[in-house]
This record gives sequence, C-alpha cells and structure tokens, in this order.
Amino acid sequence: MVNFTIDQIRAIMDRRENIRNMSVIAHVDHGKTTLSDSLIQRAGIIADKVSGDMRYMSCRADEQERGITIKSSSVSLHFEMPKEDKLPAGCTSHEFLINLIDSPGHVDFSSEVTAALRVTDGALVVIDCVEGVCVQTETVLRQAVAERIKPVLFVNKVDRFLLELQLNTEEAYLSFRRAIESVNVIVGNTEDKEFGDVTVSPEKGTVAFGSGLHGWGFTLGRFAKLYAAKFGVPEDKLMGRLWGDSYFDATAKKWTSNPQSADGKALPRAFCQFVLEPIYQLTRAIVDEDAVKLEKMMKTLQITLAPEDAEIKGKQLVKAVMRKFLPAADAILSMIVTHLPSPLVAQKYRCANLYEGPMDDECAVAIQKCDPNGPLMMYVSKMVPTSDKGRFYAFGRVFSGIIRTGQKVRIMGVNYVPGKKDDLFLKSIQRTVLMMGRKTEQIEDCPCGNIVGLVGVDQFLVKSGTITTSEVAHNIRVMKFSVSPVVRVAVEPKNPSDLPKLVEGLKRLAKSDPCVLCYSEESGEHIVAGAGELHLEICLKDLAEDHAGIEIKTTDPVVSFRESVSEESSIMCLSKSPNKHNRLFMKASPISMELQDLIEAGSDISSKDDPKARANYLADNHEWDKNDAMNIWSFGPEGNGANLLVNVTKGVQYLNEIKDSFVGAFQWATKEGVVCDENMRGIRFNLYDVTLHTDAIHRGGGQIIPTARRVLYAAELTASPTLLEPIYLVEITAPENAIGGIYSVLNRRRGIVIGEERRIGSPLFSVKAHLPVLESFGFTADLRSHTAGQAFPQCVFDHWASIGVVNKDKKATEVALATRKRKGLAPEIPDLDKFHEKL
Amino acid sequence: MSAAPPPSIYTESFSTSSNNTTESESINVEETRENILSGFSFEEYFQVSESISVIIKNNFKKIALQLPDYLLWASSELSNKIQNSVPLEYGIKVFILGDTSYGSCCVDEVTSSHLKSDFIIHYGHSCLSPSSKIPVQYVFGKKKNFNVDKFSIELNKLVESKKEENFVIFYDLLYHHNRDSIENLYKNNDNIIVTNINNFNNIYLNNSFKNNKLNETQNCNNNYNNDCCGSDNNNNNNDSGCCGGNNNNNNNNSGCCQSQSQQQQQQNDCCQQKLNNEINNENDNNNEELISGRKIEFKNEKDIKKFNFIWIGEESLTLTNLLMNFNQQMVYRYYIDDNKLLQETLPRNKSLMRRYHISEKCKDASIIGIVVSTLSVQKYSETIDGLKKLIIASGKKPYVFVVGRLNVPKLANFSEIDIYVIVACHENTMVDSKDFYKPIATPFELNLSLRNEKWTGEYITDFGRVFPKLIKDLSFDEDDENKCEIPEDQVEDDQGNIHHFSLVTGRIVIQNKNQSTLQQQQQQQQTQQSGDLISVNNQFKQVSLVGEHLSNKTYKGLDMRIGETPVTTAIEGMSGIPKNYNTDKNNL
Ligand SMILES: Nc1nc2c(ncn2[C@@H]2O[C@H](COP(=O)(O)OP(=O)(O)OP(=O)(O)O)[C@@H](O)[C@H]2O)c(=O)[nH]1
Ligand SMILES: [Mg+2]
Repeated sequence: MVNFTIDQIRAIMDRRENIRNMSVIAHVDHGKTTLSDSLIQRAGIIADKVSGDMRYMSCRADEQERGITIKSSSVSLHFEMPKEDKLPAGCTSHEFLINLIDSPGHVDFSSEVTAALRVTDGALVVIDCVEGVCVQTETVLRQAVAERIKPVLFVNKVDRFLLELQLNTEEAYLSFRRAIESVNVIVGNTEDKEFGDVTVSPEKGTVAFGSGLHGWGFTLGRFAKLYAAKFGVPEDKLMGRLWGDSYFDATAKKWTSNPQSADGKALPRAFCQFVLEPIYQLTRAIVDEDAVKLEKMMKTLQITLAPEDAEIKGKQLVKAVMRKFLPAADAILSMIVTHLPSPLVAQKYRCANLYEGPMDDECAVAIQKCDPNGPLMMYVSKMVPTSDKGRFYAFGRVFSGIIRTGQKVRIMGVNYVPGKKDDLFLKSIQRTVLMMGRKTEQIEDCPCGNIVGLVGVDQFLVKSGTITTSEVAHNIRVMKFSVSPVVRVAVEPKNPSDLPKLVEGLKRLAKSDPCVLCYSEESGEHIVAGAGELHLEICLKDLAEDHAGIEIKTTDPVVSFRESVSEESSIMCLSKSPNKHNRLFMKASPISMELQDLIEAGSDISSKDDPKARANYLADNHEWDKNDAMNIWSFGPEGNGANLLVNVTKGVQYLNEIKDSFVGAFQWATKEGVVCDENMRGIRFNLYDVTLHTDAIHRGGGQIIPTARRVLYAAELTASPTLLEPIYLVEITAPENAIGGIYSVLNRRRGIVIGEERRIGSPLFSVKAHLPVLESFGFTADLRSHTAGQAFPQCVFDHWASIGVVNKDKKATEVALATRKRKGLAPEIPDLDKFHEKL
Repeated sequence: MSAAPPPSIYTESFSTSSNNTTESESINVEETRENILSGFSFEEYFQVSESISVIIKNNFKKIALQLPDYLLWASSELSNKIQNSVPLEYGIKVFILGDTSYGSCCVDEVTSSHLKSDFIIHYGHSCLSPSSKIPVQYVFGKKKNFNVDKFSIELNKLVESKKEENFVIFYDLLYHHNRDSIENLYKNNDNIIVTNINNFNNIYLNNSFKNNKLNETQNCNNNYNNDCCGSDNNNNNNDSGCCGGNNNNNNNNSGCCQSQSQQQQQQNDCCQQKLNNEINNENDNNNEELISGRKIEFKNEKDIKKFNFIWIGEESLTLTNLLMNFNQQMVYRYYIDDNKLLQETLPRNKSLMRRYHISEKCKDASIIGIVVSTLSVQKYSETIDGLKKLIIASGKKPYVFVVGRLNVPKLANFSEIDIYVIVACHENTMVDSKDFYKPIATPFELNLSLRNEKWTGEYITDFGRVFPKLIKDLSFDEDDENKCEIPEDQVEDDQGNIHHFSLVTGRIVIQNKNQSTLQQQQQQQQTQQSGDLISVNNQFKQVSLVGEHLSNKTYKGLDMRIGETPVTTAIEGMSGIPKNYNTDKNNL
C-alpha cells in the first residue's frame, strides 16, 4: 500500500483529467470483492496494518460471515502509470486517483448498484469465466449503459480453468469469447449516439483476464509488450493479432487467419499459443514440481520471487509466481485509467441524462465542463452510517463547483420543484470527508469530479438528493431502481412502550438503504418493505439489532395489492351530500395496463406535463377523446398515481368551486380504496354531472369531500372491482436434469413459464417465469430442495396482474377479506348501498 | 357515520350522532321499548319515584330531562309522569332537552342553563364527567341479566389462580343496581375492591351560581341530604380546586363543602377534582382514587398499577378507556350472557399504535384545529388556552372550533386544517372513525408530540389530567427532567426552521417554523424593548402558513368575471325537499 498524506491526496483531487470514478459490478459471487481487495492491496492510499485475506471492502459482520456483499463501499486508489506507457489522451501526469466502489451482486441489493453507478463514470464488469454472463450481469450492464457508464471487462476465476477444470487452451479461448460476445450483445444494441460505442474487446485492451483470488491478471497489452520486440511488430498492432482467428505460422514466419499452416499442419490460435500457453506451462511446471523447467521459465519471464516465498509449493506457489508474472492490479488499473473516462470527459455526455433542468442554464453548463469555478452541483446517492448511531454521511459525487466545510448550500430533496419551497433546505456543510472503505479522512473541501461524504446534511434528505449553491438549479434526476420494494412485513415492538424506539429505528433504517421503504399506515401498523426475502431479512435484523435495539415482533410477509376495475361502471353512480342538496354523478372505467405503467414510470405522461401536450399525447397514442384528456383534474394517489379523475361534465355551475374539494377526496379515496383499503391503480373516474346548491355555504368542503369519496367508492364497486397483485420475473439457472423439479415447484406456486433456453456453450438451462410475489415466500428454499440444490432463482418485480374480480372470483375475494382482517377493518366488503343513492 | 366499520377497539363515541336520523325513522317503538326495559317496568327502569322525591325535597322548579337517542321514545311518557306525579302546588315545569350539544354521555349544562332549569335528570349511559353548575340526577337504566352468584363463582376461580393479586371490579352502569350485592360478597376480601359511583344522584346546589353566573370561582354548597345517595361517603377530599378557584384549597370543611361539615359528612364528591388526579395522587389521602368517574376505596394495596381489572358488561367506551389508560395491566371482562370471565383480547397494542400514529401526525401539521366538544367538563377553557399556547409556541397555527356535536361534514369544511385536537369528556376523546377527512388527536397526543416527550406507554384520555403537563412552560431548559433529548431526526436549518423526518409521509417535513429565530429575536429585542415588533412578526408568520395553503388552491374565492360569461335567462329550478325533489320522480 502506498502511504499518502491527506494533503497529497487532496492535491491529486484537483486534477480532474487524472481522476477515474468507477464501480465494480457483476453477478453474485463472481468475485468483485476479492478483486477489489487485491487492487486495494496494491494501490490503497491509506496504509492499513491488517492485510492478507481480510476482506477490506466488507465492513459489516454479516457480510464477512455470509461472504456476500450487502452494501456497496468506496475506496480511493492511487495509481502511477509506468513512465514508458503512453498517457491517455488529455492526461497531464502519470499519477491517477481512482475512486472505486465495490457493489453487491445479489439482486435484492440492486439498488446499491444503482447508487454506485450514479456517482461513477465507468464500470469494471467482472465475469466468472466458468458461469459466464448471468442474469444479474445482464441487469447491471443494462443499467450501466442506461446511465451512460462505460464498461470494461474482467474475466475472472481463470485459475479454475487451469487447476480445477483443466480445460485446454482452445476451450478456454472459446469460453472467453462467449463471455465477451454476450456482454457485447447486451451493451452493443444501444442506440445512444452521444454515448458512442461501448462494446468491449481484448484487442482494444478493454478486456482483462485473470484471477482475483490469486492476484494475477493481464490484458493483451501485457503480452504484446512482451512479444513486440521478438516479432518486430508495434504493440498495438500485435494486440490485434493476439485475439480472434489469428494464427502464427512459425515455419512461414507469417501471421495468418487460416488455422492451417502453409504446409497443412493445424496451427494453435495465437491467443492460445502466446498468451495462455506460457501461463499453462508455468502452472503445470509448479503443479508437477518440475523445478528445472520452472526455473528456466522464470528466468526467461524475468520473475524473481521474494525470499520468503522460497519454501512454498503447489497452489500457493502458483499464486506467488503468477502474481509476480502478471500482477492483476497493474493490468486492471492501467486498463481503467486508459479506457475509462475521466469526469471531465464523461460529464460532457452524462449531463443530459443527469440534469432535469435546461441544458443551457448555469448548472448544466458547469456540469458539462466539470467546472470547479461554476456553481456547486452535487448528487447524494446514498447514506453511509457513521460511528455515531443514527447519523449518516451523505455520500455522493460533486459534478461541478467545489464543496467545502462551512459552505452555505441549498439541499433539495426529490420533491423539490424549482421556485417552490417544498423539500428545500438551506444549511451549511459541517464537514467533508473522504470515504476509504471502513475509514474516513476529513478534508477541507472537495472539487468537482470527486466522490465525497458530507456530515450534517443527512437529516435533510430521506435517501438522496441534490446539493447546490445555485438558486436556479433544478434537481439532478432521481435514480431509477431495477427493483421495487414489494415484499412487506408489519413490525411492532414486543413491548408497546418501545414504540418511540421502533419509530426512531425505522427512520434510521429508511436512510441506511436506498431501496427499503419504512412507513406507518393509517392503522398504526409500521411497515418495512424490501425488494426480496433476503433484503427484508437483512433490514429486519439491522432494525432489531442496530437501529432500534429492541425486541421486535414481525408478521408474516405480506404483499401490497392494488385495487383496480375491469369494466365500466354498470350504472351511473350517485351520491348526495349530507344535506342532500348536492349530487354527484360518476362512473369508473379501467385504464389500459400500458398507460398505467407509463404513468407510474412518470416518463411519457405525468401529472407535471403541460395539459395540452398531454392531451395530444393521450389522443394520439392511447385513443383518448381529446376533450376528456384536456379535462384531467388530477392524478392520484399522492398527486401522481395511475388513477385519473376526469371531468366530463358540460356546463355545470360553480364546478370550479368544488374542484379542490373533489380532488382532495379523490386523493383520499385512491389512497385507501373501498375494497380493502389498498391503493387504487388504473382507474379512470369520470365525473358526469353535478348538481350543486346555489348557496355557497351549502356546497362547502364539508358537504363535498365526504360525498365525493362516497361516489368514487360507488363507482369503483360498480365497475367489477379487481385486485392486482405484484408479479416477479424469475430467472432460474439449472442443469437439464433439474428442469422437472423447477416446473413442479413453479406449478404449485401459480408460476407461469414464459421461456426456456439453453445457455450457449454451457450445460445449464435458464428458465424464465412469472411468479406471484404472494407465492414467492420460501420459493428459493423450496426450489433448492426440489432440485438437489442445483437451481438458482433470481426474482425481480416485473408487473401487476389481476387476481380476479372481487365478490365474484374466489381467490380475489379471499385476498380482499384477508387484507381487511389484517387491517382491522369490518370483515365484509362494504355494500354499494352505503355509497350509492337512488334518485 | 354508520359507514364506519367497527374499529379494532371500541371507540364509536359519536355513533349515534345527528346525520342519519332518516334511518331511525323506521324503528319500531314497541320492540325497542321491550328490548330496553328488559323486564323492568317503566317506572323501575327510569327510577321515576326517586326523581320525584328529589324534586319535592329540594323544591326544584324547572326540570330538564336529557335523553340519549335510544331512549327518546320514552321522553313524552317520562315527562308526563314526572309532571303529573308532583303535586300541582310545587309548580314544577318539566321539559325535554332536544338535540344535545355534545356526546349524550355528558350532561348538557349549556342548554339547560339557557332554559334556566335548576335540575337535570340525565338518562342513559354517562361518562360521569364532573359537572358543576346545575344539580343532576343520573338514571343509568338497568338490565336484569346479571347474576351475582354465577359471577362470583367465576371470579373466585380467577382469584384462586392468582393468589395474592389484587382485583378491582368495574361495571357497566346498567348494572349499578347490582353493585351492593357484589360489594357484600367481597366486603371482607382485602384483595378485591368494587368500584362505587357515589355521585349517583349527584345533587348539589350552587348558590353562588345563582347569584353570579359569570363568577368562575363558585363555591359549591352541598345542601343535599344523603337519602338519595346510596352510599356513605367518606371522601376526604382536599382538592376543592374543582370548584373553580383554588382559594378554598386544603380547607375541605369550609367554603365549597360547608354543608357537609355541618352534616358531619364529607359529601364533596361533587368536587371531582380527584378525577384530575387519578394517578398522581399527591394528596395525603391516597386511600382512594377516581377512575372513569368511579371511586375506588383502597383496602391494603394502594397502588392502582398493582391491580387486575375486572369489567362487567359489554364492550363500551368505558372499557376502551380503561384498556387504554391502564395498558400495562391485565383487564378481564365478564361476559354476562356466556357466564365467562376472560382476559380482554381487544387489540390494545394495535390501538395504541394507531394513536401513536396520530400523535406523530401532529408533528407534521402546520395548522391545527382545536375542536371544543364540551362546555362543561372542568378546566376545558384553560385546556383550550393551554393547547393554543402550545401550538403557537411550536410554530404552528391554532384555530378553535365549536361545532357542537361532531360529525364528518362539519370538520371537512375546513380543508386548511391538517389535524384536529379534541377537547371532550374522557369517553369521547378518542375519535377513531376513518370517515373523518383529517385525523382527530387528543390533547394528550398533541402534548406528547409537540413537546417531544418520550412516550412511556402511558395513555391519558382525560384532558384534566393532561392539563398540568400542558401548562408547563414550553421551555427548552436542559434541566427539565420531563423533557427528553431532541429526537435525532429533528434538525434545524440555517433559517431556524425545525424539520423532521416523518414516517407518515416519508418526507422531511417542517415541524417548527422559525421558532428559534423568533426566540433569538425576542432575546435581542428584550433589551431594545420593542416587543410589538415581535408580535407583528409572529402574526405575520402565522398568516403566511395559511397563505401557502391558499396558493395551492385553484379556487380562491368569488370571481365576478363580468362580461366574460354570457347572460342567460333564468329557468325554473327544482322544487320540493332535497332528499327527493318533486322533479326527481320524473327523471326515473
Ligand atoms: N477460484 C477462484 N475463486 C474466486 C476468485 N475470485 C473470487 N473467488 C471466490 O468466489 C467467492 C465469491 O467471491 P466474492 O469476491 O465475495 O464475490 P462477490 O462478487 O463480491 O460476491 P457478492 O458481493 O456477494 O456479489 C469467494 O469464495 C471467493 O473466494 C478467483 O479468481 N478464483
Ligand atoms: Mg462482494
């Protein structure tokens, strides 16, 4: 490890072109953390006394125990390029600062990956060469590209090919090529022109191979350098020849693309011959204890072992020798600095994706230029717990300007709207710190292009937000997670008087995780919702042990449902106000699933749109009557949900006066539907007619709000109300003989198989299915036990689907009644008579 | 109102209130009568003869009958009976109180005093809240289904299984006539106490009231002789503060309870001050306590927290109250018809959690409505003032509403209000119906959340007992022991606004507007002696709260739009009654 003073680090932080912010992403267990550790050992800035096999990047006890990463963590590395290497374009010095974030690979913690990607510009994608590209590899890759994060690839665990599986070199090559091709299929088909080509290839130097565990790795550049003199070919040209269908005909002394030599002998692939073969031979010499051969090879390859390694043998020796021969850190770090963009480069094209405001305002301009003299723009992507219980570092990236201790800033939460005061806080920065794995170092200030932790703003942000000094600044776009918190439990303290502690604990928990949802319901129940069973388990454990520190009772996991409708209301619903002077006439009808999804995604249509543009959009794309579309009064619940209140009345007097009350009731009713108090989704409420008392005093809120709620309920009840349940997309990988077990488990759990395919070049099959979240509890365990532990599922929330019509289909009715019971509501679904009145 | 499902814990306090009179039209009077009298004669049930003798004895002239909705059918018969049974020369006048102002459990002193009545007979269930202005006779009604022997067998079983533990028996007021027989059984058992209601026929006349109605510090002279009051009274009550002024403090033999000392009987149960001190029994005399208007005379064990509670009767607000207020203790309920004594299983925790949720909502609110739902329970006006001060001191804006009987439309009229806090008798304090547009908190909850006090599991429905906490200065003194440390999610920005993270909305919300800047200003300006400026400032900020609300509305008031709307001729509108206009039929 390099030992630096903070001042030295701070000095490097100013050289924006020499900074690389990158995350390590991959499928679970593909070796991200191991690899990151080996990089830290080589280049970590702060010397750490404890070294060795210690997992530096795993801060939490349960991470160490389970051997799985739960939280992403960040560390700064210092890398000095060899003087003889060519500097990447635009760089001024051989010294680099690399901010690396190790991320978790389990789907349930995908939100951590999203938060990591947001603050970095590049990604080191790790692939287990034996397993190849897996589901989560694909997910994180897609996310990276969507965020305009450039990938480079590390094909990991190559040691297994050598020692364990003993694949020959050609087999190894083929499997490498497959992995690389799969990656390029995923990242290659983006039509993002501004972002450019992001495919990876060994000959360009954007793919490295090696073993994180053994600490060795290489790019083709390493071998090109080795052979350049020998072949008399320039390095970059040689690199191209060391990959693909390229062969060296030794007798003819010629490079060819023909696998046969001029005299008809089969030629080994150049990659196999010049790259893999030396590695294989070296390994074999050690494993076979062929001391003579080993010594000879070591001499030609100029490997000298450290004196303390003289005695070791076998695998340990392989590790030591390979490390010397092909140090992984050097290969990977130089790949990173050469091929991943600096903030200066990246922010130019990322800005449009990041910033919500106009691209020509002062903030956008400063972000694009990564301008330290521009207004401060920083995005806080997550909260990192401090040693001080309940307090957090706000962790994020400075995109422009400089953030410094004591600086007065504007903290803007996700609900901030420019020009309004909502979710806006003015506050001074207490401290700025560098995050170094489990350590922090205080720094005076932090210039743009860097990743930093802030003290003293955590309490103003729930999970994430924008920090700026500009009064005209818009928000930096909120992160889109690939997972949603659909699995929920209600928690309560064993002892009711611990309620305040529970509430405090829930607030801490809510901050500590980008995805977990903690809230209290009208019933007084406290809900914790997570992305999956594992996520929830970890959250609840943290809640009980750390955040609240009390004994907690947990209900069985429950699923949140949505109330919807499947037909237009069978009758015109009428409710009269308590004084009977006002009458509201309404019908409900379903909104198409497609439109529901669009509204919830908030991209193509949202409550914030200009009504005219929205009306045009709805008329053109969703067959809406343009007039109706112009008269959307409100989206609900929470002002942005996928239910619409549409005014289709004609010439009703005083209607404008009751609009606010009506909208209030609409928000209320869509939040707590009539069937079982769940949110509504996909219902369009059409207000057909209204009779109002001529005297304003008799049509006040008191008369309208409760009545509007009743007529909304009546409309829902008469429109064949349905319940929607969340559905997972499950992807299960397993060998062929396990497929039968998978199908039977899926069948029992109402799962529907939507696809099955053999993974190219592997004995594994992957099965895709839709599985109701309701049926997913214990699914993983069940699946393993039915497939002798061979099947591995990954579940991600996919869509909502109807369970059936309430009061008609058995399942839907059962679910509705059970939900009512859990919430302590009256056991029966209310009658229409309570809401609808006859004329 | 009836749309509300039965809540998880019984809180349907206003269930019989106004709106749905339409539905009660069809009630079969004969059937109702049979059901309610349940085997008693009309005279027995309504204790007519007792009423008459009290009237004659005290020479009352104007007698007001207050009946709850479910007894209204008996009103005319009752008034006739009483009117006609008192000899003409007494010249009495009996009248029936119409729509009562608040919960039917509270004595409607306001209406009665408008009618200048000097005696109220209150029928039906009562919250036994102290009333001080006009003498009252309570007639609870009766039910026959209770069998003392069967009950005692069950109770003995329970007592047997819990040796050495203490029990206190509460009962639904319908079984008050059985009280003495229960008491007789356990007279000699030191571990079992039967609560008593010694203000049954709580009659006292307030002479000074007659002289000076506005004088709050009246003395209550009890000129009542004890043959109406079933029990001997040994209430040695030092708290004569009930009588409004504290001038009579520690002087239980004079002023307020003069007549009692003459009678060698300390009949000052009228002075219900004890009620306000149910638990913090700071008096020298801690031989008894008042809980839910019921008196407990301690035998050996004097700490109410060490008792198991027995409840005889149906689910009721009184039971809910006991469960909430004594949420750490075991409560058993005797199911009369099943003859079973079971531990009460109402989900107390759920209910507490729900109330806590409402209390958390108080923090998020910026405009708070104080709903006055009693004009008779003691200290109500002081409580309102205390609440107002607390709300203002918390940087929020209070409004006071007197809406009479609570219902959904009335409160929904004020959409600016974020949350209401209700000042009502202890039984009507928890309003849990989902139908209200905005939640209704209790003074206890509001106090808890605005002061950031640590909740210990305690719950108080009686605002009289919250009151002492309420009037404590909202000082941020470090040494104040009841003041817990500032919650960790509470945070102040550079402008001095205090924010916190609300689990209800999942957002960082403003909790306390600019309080400290205000304080700072105050401190600065104290030296400069320009206090006016502060109040102007203060006023301004509160106005701005409402202004913000208005700015979010689309309709901001009448807009003439002269010339913009076409002139049309008047057409004939609807006629008839709104429930069913004449024209409606044509539409069908
Ligand atoms: N043979 C071999 N095993 C490796 C290599 N790298 C990692 N492993 C092993 O793979 C397992 C998982 O490694 P981790 O580094 O924890 O994987 P990860 O990607 O961080 O896993 P998550 O963070 O949980 O997604 C461990 O048992 C490692 O020892 C490698 O290069 N070769
Ligand atoms: Mg890991």
